[in-house]
Amino acid sequence: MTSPVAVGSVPAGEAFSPAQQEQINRAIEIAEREGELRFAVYVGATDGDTRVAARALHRQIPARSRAVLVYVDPARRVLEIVTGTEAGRVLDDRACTLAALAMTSTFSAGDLSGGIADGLRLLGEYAHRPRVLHRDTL
Amino acid sequence: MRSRTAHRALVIAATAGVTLLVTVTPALAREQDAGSDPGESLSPLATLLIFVGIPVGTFLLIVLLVSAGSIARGTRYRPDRVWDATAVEFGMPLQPAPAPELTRPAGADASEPRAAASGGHPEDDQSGGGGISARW
Repeated sequence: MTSPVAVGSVPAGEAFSPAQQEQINRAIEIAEREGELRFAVYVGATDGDTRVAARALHRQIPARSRAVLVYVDPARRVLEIVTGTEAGRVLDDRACTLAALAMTSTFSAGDLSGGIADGLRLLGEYAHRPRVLHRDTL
Repeated sequence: MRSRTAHRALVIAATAGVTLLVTVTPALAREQDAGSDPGESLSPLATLLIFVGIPVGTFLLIVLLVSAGSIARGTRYRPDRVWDATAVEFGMPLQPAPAPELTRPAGADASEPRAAASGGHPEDDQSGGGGISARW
């Protein structure tokens, strides 16, 4: 498997227009606002198993325990959401599934950046939900 | 599928033919009507400009107007097209992947199957870290 290590420095020239890049960056900014979680997005083709590649990429994120990686492979039409240890407590698999559903339905309509922004918004909203002290013991 | 295409072609040909026949009838009139003044005949160049140049120009203008939006928006993903764009990353800066031997805690057992398979921290794969996969 070719690890997508060097990809982080490649400018987003072909995949998204400047307006679409701004849309995604703004969605990340909003999702991270007032929250403890950090969000990262990767859009690109994968050589091997997408889950393994997504986890490998998630491991490279600083402070990955609170990081959420949205990994999109448009070539194989696969979406992976990887959460760190802390992030997984806030964003359980049900929340991730809901966000993934919203994203994939927008993807299949041909709107990649809009789907990513929608998913980040949903994940951010779920991460911001009021903490119930007697239930959520973080 | 083939019969459907053939059907479409037939309908288009029939429509074009019938329209041409109906509209061309006045031109076949042998005698001029009383008081009609046909005027000078068009030169070949003027004929080409009017009957070819203007329709082609209008067609190109409409194509340009329709595609202007998507040209301005840039590359757009389509589910039925091959994706060959360069990979991009948003959000946090990624740091170079540390060697697995160095990052693995001393007590971590390499026999843990999933962690060994993905070559990294057992913490990510086993305890707490989660996530989902989806397709579209």
